[in-house]
Amino acid sequence: MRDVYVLGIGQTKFGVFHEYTGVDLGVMASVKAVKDAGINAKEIQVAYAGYTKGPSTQGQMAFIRLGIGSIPIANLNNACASGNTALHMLYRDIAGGFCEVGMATGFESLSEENKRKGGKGLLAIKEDLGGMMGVTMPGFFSFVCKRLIEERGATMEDLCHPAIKNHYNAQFNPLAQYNKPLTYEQIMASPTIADPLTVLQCCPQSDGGASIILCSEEYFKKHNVNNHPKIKIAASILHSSGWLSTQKDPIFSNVMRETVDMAYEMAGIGPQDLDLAEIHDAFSGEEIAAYEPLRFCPDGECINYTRARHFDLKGKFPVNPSGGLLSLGHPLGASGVRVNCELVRQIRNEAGGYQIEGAKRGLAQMLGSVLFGGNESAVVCGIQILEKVQ
Amino acid sequence: MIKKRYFKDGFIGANEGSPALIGRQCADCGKKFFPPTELCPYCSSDNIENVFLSTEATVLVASTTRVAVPPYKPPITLAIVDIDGGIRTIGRVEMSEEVTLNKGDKLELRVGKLYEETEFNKETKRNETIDVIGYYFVPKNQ
Repeated sequence: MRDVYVLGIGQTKFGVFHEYTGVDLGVMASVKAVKDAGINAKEIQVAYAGYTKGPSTQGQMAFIRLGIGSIPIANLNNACASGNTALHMLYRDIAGGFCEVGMATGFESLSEENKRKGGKGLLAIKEDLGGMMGVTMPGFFSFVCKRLIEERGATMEDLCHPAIKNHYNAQFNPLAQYNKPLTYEQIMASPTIADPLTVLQCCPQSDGGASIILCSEEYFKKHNVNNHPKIKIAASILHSSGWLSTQKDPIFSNVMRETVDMAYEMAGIGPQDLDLAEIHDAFSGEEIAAYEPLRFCPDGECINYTRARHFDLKGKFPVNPSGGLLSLGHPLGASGVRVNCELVRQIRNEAGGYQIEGAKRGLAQMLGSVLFGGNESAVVCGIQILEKVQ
Repeated sequence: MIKKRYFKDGFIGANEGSPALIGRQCADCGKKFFPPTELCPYCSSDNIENVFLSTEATVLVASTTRVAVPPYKPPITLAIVDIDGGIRTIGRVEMSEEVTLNKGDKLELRVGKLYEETEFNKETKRNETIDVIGYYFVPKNQ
């Protein structure tokens, strides 16, 4: 295995763009990544696309518009972790010596998907037993909130804090879908979806694309014409829950704990060595429930740390300084690449108003699929750790 | 006559005449599991057989969805429940009037109509109604 570095990143604004398809957004992000890398797109030796909705081979449809072709291209659907999965496969190709440089692009147009379905749906997953019972994403995360109330003494103010924090952070992010702060009163006044989850505790439906170009050390030395700081993929782990590690209690994600421990070991660091994290916060309470499995606080302490504002933009360990899924937006296939682009931006000191001073190392995480996995639905977890090296 | 079908085959059977969920038990590792899978999910053995599960379930956590989730209409109460000690699954709870369910509350299994479907019958060239049969829980002693 050899080291893998980030040569370029590209990202569209996230939002609702009826004029673009998912492929269009993937193309826009990929073009930006190529320009940021400072290479000709013909240099790309392998490319992966992450998306979850619509027809097959959208990756090929996107990459051909950059003149990329006659190379291996694969399309990966791992729900919200599709982007991390694309990045992970590219990482393996380069680490294993199969190629020198490649691209991973994630994209999604949920507006396009909604047109296809003829309306916005709050859909259960048909193949999943929980889905057949009427369990939806908000339905599941309402269990998470209730368990946090019972077991950790969370109040509604606590459960709403990530939404307030992430909407605050997104004001400083020009690529965010929402750029306005949100109050507790506004969140609680919004309609209830599943007790105690209201609409404003949930992420929006979004369109967008994100792309990253990775390369070997030798390639980086020769082609880094834009003089970017050297950022290494210190860890990349793709993991799925099995029957034994499935989430028996919604308050604690076993698969997240297993994945992050592998990532810390691979990077040779602990959580105390991180400067920031960008994680899956599709629901406000979900972010809180992730702090413990990811070891961002000791087990049992997620509410105390939330109350101490530990994870705020100016806190001791900022989580989702970009605005997260809750306010930056969540184009499903794009988000796993986007969280990694975010770390690159922070480590390069290019994050503007939401810059974490002196950021050198960050963690990106996405969870894919649902749900309970009571026994019937497996959860995907993708985690990367990126760090600045000399 | 109204047609009927199960929401999923192989999940529901009759245990001495009473409806019950079908799980499986592994003769090698001894673990019991639901839903039924093709190999033992604990040890991947094929030495497994069907067993009926207890019709009593205990609530871990419950919550009510306030929006429609087709084919279900709100309010939709869902609970994570424990059955026979080691089995944890999700079930929908039907209640004559809405009560708050707490951890430890007991539920009872019911088998019956979940919802109706309409299907076009090619022979009669007419739409016909099909009752989709499945399981749900009710608060004990309701």
